[in-house]
Amino acid sequence: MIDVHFAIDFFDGTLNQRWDEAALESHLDELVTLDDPIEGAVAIGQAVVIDALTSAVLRLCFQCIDALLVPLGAYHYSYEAENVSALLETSDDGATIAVSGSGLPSQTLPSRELLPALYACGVRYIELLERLEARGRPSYDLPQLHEAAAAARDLLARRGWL
Amino acid sequence: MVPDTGELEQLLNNAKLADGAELLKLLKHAKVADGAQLLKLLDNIDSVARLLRMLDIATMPTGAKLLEFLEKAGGAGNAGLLEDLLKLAKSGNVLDAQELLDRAAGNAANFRTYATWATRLAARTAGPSYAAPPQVAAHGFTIQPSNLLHFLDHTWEFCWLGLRAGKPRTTFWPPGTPPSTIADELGRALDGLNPAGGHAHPVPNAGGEPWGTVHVGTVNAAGGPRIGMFYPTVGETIMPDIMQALIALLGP
Repeated sequence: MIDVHFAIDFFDGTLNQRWDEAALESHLDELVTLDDPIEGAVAIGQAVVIDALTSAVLRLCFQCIDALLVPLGAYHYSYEAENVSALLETSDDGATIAVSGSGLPSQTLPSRELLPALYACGVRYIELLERLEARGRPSYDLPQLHEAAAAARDLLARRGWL
Repeated sequence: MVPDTGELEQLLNNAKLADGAELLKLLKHAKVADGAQLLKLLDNIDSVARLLRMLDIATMPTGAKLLEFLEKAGGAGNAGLLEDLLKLAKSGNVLDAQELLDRAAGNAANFRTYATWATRLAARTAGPSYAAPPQVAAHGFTIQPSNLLHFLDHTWEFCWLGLRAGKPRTTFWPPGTPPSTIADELGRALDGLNPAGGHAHPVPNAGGEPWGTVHVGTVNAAGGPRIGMFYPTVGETIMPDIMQALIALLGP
């Protein structure tokens, strides 16, 4: 099973802390105070893409799926927060996706597992933003995320991967 | 420890030592282990006066540690720079320079670069508030004071190092770039990205867009796309391991 999860950067007044998804539940009070853009990371296996988080989730969890459901597909990811990039490429039979990029370990992962895992990660991020919104932190990115998630879900469902 | 005959001969012939009294003082120094170590220390320092000063630093544990630091800094040519760098330790403990010296690993040029960065960043202060350029509102974008402050993390004078911990890399504006220049550059980029007016570019959360030697990124917000990212794409760049080492030395 491929580990795909997100993490959130939180500045505690002294140092930047990075909290993995599993740790977020105990930090909701702090997360409500987060300013936009939220920064953090999307971890795809061993590759940790550290960037503006909503932007990373939007593109790596949802928008890339269309390009990666076809053989020899490619999704170029330009970081929002740094002048670097990553690349996701499908193999000629579409069975695997190679992930590479600046400062990232190169790895090849099975498409059938990776794409649903990316989508699920994005959905969990949306759920977190909705919970934070319910606690008083508005998330103006939610409509854009919802729209992209719906499109990704349709694509994966049509393939029979959801 | 008394040096053997060969070591003693080398020490007596060492051009950096003025006389026997100076040699005796060094050999008797509590942090100097033996003649062999003293010879290596002299090889890696430019003057005996500096060697004595550095040995006498209260937090310098041993001559062996000083020798390690000198070698990692690149040797005698960088001894003065090393002495200055050790004074930058925010805690007052010279061992806080360990990570930076480990990264330099004996490469004199790299050490000079890191020491230059550390010297600049040691003088940083809290970022001042400054006005957004008029183009932000004119194009229909929004911005918050926190965003403007964050942009200053790419300046040597106002960078909050702790905020850059764990980030992939940090590219800096040239030393001395004032906030007003950063605001002007942002305004120019917004004009350049939207020549017909409006706020079509950058698209929120799409990775931002470059303009010349800067990069602008936006997120969705009430009242119009909010400028959330603005930084130079060209300039001196500190990688994460060096940033971590600088934080260890200078504090966040």
